[in-house]
Amino acid sequence: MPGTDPSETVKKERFEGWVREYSQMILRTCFVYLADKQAAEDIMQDTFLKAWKAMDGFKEQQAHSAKAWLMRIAINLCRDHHRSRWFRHVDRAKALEDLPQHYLQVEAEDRSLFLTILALPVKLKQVILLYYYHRMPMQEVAAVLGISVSTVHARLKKAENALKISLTGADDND
Amino acid sequence: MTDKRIEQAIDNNLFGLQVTEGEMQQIITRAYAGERPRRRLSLVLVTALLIVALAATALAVIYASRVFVSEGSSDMVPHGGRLILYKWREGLFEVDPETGEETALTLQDPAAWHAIPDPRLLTEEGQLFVLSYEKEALFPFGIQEGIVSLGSPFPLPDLREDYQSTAVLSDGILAVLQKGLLRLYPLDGGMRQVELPGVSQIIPYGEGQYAGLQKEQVQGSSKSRLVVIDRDSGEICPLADLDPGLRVSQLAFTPGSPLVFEANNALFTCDEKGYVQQVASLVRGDVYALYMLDEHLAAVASDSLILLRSIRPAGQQKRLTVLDPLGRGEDYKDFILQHPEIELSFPLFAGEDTEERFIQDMEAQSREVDIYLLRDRNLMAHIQEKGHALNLAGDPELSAFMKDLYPPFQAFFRQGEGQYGIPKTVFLPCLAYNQEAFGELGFKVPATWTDFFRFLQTWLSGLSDQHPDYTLMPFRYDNTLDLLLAKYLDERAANGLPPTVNTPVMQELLTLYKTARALDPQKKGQPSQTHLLHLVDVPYRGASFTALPLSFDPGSRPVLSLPRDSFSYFVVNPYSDNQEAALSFLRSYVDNLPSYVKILVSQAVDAPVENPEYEGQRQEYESRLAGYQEQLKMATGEEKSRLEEQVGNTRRLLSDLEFYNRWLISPRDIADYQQFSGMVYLSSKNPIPDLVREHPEMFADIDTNPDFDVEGFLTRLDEMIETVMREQTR
Repeated sequence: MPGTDPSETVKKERFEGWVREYSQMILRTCFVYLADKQAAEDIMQDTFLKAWKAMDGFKEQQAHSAKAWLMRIAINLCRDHHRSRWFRHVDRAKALEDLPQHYLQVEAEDRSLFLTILALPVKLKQVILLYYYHRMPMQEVAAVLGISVSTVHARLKKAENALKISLTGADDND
Repeated sequence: MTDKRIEQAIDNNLFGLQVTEGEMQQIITRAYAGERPRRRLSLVLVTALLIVALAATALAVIYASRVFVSEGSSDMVPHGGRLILYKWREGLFEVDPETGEETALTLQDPAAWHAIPDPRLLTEEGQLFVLSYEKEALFPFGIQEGIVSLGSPFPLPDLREDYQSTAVLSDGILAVLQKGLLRLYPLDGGMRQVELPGVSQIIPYGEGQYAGLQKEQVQGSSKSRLVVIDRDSGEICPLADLDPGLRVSQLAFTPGSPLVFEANNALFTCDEKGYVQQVASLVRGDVYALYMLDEHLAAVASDSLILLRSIRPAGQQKRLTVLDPLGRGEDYKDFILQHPEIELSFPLFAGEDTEERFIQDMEAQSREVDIYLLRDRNLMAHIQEKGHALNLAGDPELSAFMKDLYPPFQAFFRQGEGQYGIPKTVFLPCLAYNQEAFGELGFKVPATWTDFFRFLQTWLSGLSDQHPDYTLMPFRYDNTLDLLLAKYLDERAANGLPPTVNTPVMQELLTLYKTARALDPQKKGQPSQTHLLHLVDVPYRGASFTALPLSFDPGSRPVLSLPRDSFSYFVVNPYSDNQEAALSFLRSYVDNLPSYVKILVSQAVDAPVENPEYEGQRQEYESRLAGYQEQLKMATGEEKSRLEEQVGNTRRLLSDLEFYNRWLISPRDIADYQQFSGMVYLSSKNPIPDLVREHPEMFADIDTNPDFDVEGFLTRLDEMIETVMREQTR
């Protein structure tokens, strides 16, 4: 029942369901954020560790959804990690080389778009990930990031334009 | 721009980034046990640290330049003749620049320190500070007898976080540069701002001055120059224009030294007259800190390496140039640590791939590059024929290494008594199927590529709709036309058949391929769906999939081909002036060959290799388990249940440790690879990759042209193959 502490068994069942449903998406999100496979794996695991510890405080009706709540934890952990190394110039192409099955055939356009997303400023990358990749509604993106819906909208426009300029040279603001 | 395109770009690029069932179980077990993830320390690193301790002390007196390894650090400042490192999650460490010895510092008040998000280390005249953008404060801290104590913070109003900012301390003033705006915070209070258009970095440069990097757009292109900035007036005076190709990442200066900067994996100096010269090479990596330890010795933090480099011409060292476009210094840390007398240099070449550069260099007999990392296997025949690589057979260690290689690798590198390269990257990708899912659904497991495409056609024609919980990605298993044709020629060669593709087997296969292409709905699998097929590297450690090497011809034995990105090899420039150093580099590489490469190439790998971290971790868990069991004897009620759960969790941790972390090369890896080692085929004469490069439209036609003529295509291709082979023979 929402708002009350679930029993231990129900809590575990729910947690294990989250791990199965969201771990891969969180891992990929962290990778896009950090361009570092090892750090992404660490943070994905840390996200679930934190989530398990804080599960009693999770209230479905307040946090919109478990996915949004987990994404908020993951994004905050990524942000902490990113800050600790914000001055580094990450070689994104190299980060991709570190992935297993990196030789998988990927269309040149997909690769180019992906590298452009990796290179976006963090604030723009966050909204792209949550809105387009996780398909969250704008209100939920705003709740995850702790910003207003209008800021989400503005950042999305900026991010879309940055991707468009990078890929086609065309600027909507021209 | 559509949301689908973005989603597709992320998923396609990160297809290999999967969380396996076992990993999910590990996450759950660790969460219940309250365990944080552990970074694994590789065998290579353990060896490297040992070498530092042994070698650096002996060589310190002779060579000013030294290199140390420090995993996980993200900031560095000099302090009292030592280096202070900050490591995320771990805290502060002190490194002796003479020996490389690293000591963890004790935080007097860990909670206060960990409450500072994004700590950035700064130093001025022996005083250490930590800057936090989020807290809008600068905290002084001191180190006494290994204990770190934090002082009261200086408030910094309006300090905004910006990923492009630079912060420096000098003359009791903190200067923070953000997007061309300099905020000056005297530590006794107040704040003022100075506009510095185009300036992206600054460093204290004598009293009341900063040296900086300024960029401006001139006729559509970006120009960079070094400048001197007067702190009071904000006046900017040019010091030196920089070459357009130089990408500056860090500046450093100490009284008595010239201005020093890092750009393009090298250190440069700029004197007061603006004369710029390269003074030292650095290995490729992310340089995140640069300081002058004295007038002539620079400390550079790059990835996991800390490099000390002399900026005096007399201190310059022998240089070995390696053309590995994606390589980083830390990939070669064993060599760097064993040979501090040799500077490893990674040049940047724009607009050409390594192979093109190699061919040009050989034609010109250039000595600029000493070692090349190549991927094009078809070059090997030319290299051997024309002597375009140093014969390594005369080196006893490299020759012994070659004798241990599996026959396909020996055959690739050898010609007569000569030996012309060594392998660097080797992956063996193989189609794999989900045995459990195939069993449950009653699907027949394909035995040939024709079977596979028949199954694919059935799946795409409607079978997928009957099984919505399952998915597959039709053309994501190294089964595109170009790769299939290349594999086919490899299989024929390995089975002693002539290099032709216009055969009944290939005609039927391409007809099925064409139909499957037309049916491919580009449907994206949902996360909840189970994958029926996968592409795995053999030997495969997971439990969900089973490798399925397929043949084309039912009567032929299947081969495992290596696509271009799955194999690379080193060759030494025969005109190099540094051949002895190049041989040392290769010896070091084969001595420290990563375990995942070693098992694939070396017949000498016949015993498992245990992870050196395993035993310590196992003992820790065993001791924890014994503790819980002891407490359990006396416990009752809720406490008993809690302890029983902890016992269960710790047992699971032990089991995970045994399964996932015990081995660098496991007994199962060795047993599995025995099935596959005989299937490896490493061609040096497969014409398909070159033909695809030269005629991409011809190979793309089948995907879009409904009237594509399979037999006509294969006939034409056979003619082209014959021409290429004839030219190769000639």
